[in-house]
Amino acid sequence: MNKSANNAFTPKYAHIYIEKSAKSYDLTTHIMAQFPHATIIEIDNYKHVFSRPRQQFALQKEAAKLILAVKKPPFLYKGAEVCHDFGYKHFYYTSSTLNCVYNCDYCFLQGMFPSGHVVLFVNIEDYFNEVEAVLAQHPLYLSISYEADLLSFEHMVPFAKRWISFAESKRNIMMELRTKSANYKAISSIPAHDQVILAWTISPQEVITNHEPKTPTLKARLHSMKQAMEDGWKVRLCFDPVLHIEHFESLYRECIEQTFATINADQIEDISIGVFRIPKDYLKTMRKQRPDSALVHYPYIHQNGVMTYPDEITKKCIDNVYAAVAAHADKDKIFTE
Amino acid sequence: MLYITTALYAEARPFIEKFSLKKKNAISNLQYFSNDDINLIVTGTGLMSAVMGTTYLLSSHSIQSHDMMFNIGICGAKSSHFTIGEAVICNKIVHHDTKRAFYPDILFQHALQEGSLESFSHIVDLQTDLHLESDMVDMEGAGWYYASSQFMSPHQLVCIKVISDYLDASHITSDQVTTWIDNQLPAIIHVQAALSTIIQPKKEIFNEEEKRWLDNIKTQLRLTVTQYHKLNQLTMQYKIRTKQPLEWIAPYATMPIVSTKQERKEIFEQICKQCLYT
Ligand code: SF4
Repeated sequence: MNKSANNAFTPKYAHIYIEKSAKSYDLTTHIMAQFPHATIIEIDNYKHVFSRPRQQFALQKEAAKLILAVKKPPFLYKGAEVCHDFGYKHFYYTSSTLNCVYNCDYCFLQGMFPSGHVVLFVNIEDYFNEVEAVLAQHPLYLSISYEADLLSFEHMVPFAKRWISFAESKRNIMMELRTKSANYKAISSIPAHDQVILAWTISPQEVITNHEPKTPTLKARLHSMKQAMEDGWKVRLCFDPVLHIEHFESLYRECIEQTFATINADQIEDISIGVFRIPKDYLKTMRKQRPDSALVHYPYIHQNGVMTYPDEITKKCIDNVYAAVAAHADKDKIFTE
Repeated sequence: MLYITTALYAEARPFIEKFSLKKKNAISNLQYFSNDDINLIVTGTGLMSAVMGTTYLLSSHSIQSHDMMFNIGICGAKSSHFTIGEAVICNKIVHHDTKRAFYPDILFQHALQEGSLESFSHIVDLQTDLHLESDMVDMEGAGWYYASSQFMSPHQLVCIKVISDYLDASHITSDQVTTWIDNQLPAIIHVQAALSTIIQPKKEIFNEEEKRWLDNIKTQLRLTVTQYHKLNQLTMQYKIRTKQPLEWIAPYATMPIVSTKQERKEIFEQICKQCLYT
């Protein structure tokens, strides 16, 4: 996108669509107070905006709108096969938001969602009620930032804080908050507890610069992570997705060196390593949305409905990253796909 | 290409004059004007006319992702929040009878006010017993949006209404209508310019010569459908990644036709290797 085009877009969240039923919620009031100049448009159902046909995800990311809505059941979903479940039997995820403030080239959301605009579900208590009901039946491993980077929204809506506080009193839940943000300070006032793992996706700075636009630098992520560990939180390191880009060996090696020079490997809860993989249909949509992305147009191969690197490339990527990580961390802590 | 629909000739006249649009032969009841960049249709009043005119206009062209569709016309306003003669961009368009709502995706910056529009299938005035949901009323907007959205993305659709009255249209003359639209022409052109800045035409990855080379390689190497697909994907990724021309592939396009599968396999793998780092 050239500079003049950037200037022609409406500022972020210049328009806020609000479901009539969402108006009475506290979180709505909290969010609205931050955008006194936004144009407000009342809607009956968020899908009337979010699910319009023929939307342009990539363009919308440049001029994102907010959609405040009340989520209808279900509030929890079973985790997909392509995701790590870290050995937990009941792996579920939940989405308080649809879409993300960042705009990673490889983000699966652009293949999954019909819109690049951001939906915030304001009825968080309904989510908590469903989690309570499930916990009465069995333990739960719950990913709360599966379809967005929840922590990056924290300045706008305190979802992460609410979820983390909710989990504190539950004995049979393990909650994962995954992020690329450097926004740990937004939740740092909550005393650390064992029901939550804070997981940071770590990428070489070159990957961040070229493929993870708008996300914090490697240095800032590591700094945030270090603070969380010092405060006593369980912290997970995610080298996922590892990308097969030019000079990937040296880029990932340097990134891993920098990581373990900043944080103490012994204090890490665990480390996950995985290569880029995405459902076939999502990639098809992404290729239309991102005609200029070398990552999206990589000649992936099809394996059981999923597009990923050929086996020899996957092995090469994983082996390289694994070896560099294992030089610093206990092998028992390393999960690979 | 800019497509425009208006309900009345008086609303179209400022565009016809400003852009020297020429009348084209069209089906009866529709007045059709165009130049190289603009196609304009006067649909007539009412929802059905708007649907029909819009569908006729868009279905007779091959719509591109950088095209734009504008609906321009006068409308009544519910309150004096808007002034007479003011142009307003519609961010919500409700079909009054069905209550179905449509939302143009306003991704471009502009200096106009925004408001919601409700489209009726009959004339609305102060005597009508109404439960108005919206700021403005007209008789075409919802039909125009519904038809346009079958062909275009919501961000390509722009509905601009110029306020003509506060639900009392009985004394409006067609000269007044033309004057109001004419006065707002600079603002409308500004909106069109802002939108066209953000929806640039798609850049082709391959130039014509490169496309020919790839086609020739398919023939000379007797590639299977899968191999040809892979060749396209690899060369496309190579070009996006390196931003380099594909000249090195040209010799493969002029080589003699391969005689064995083994020969094909070797040469194909050679090309693949050159495309991708390891
Ligand atoms: S941080 Fe995650 S959810 Fe957000 S854009 Fe990047 S990949 Fe997508």
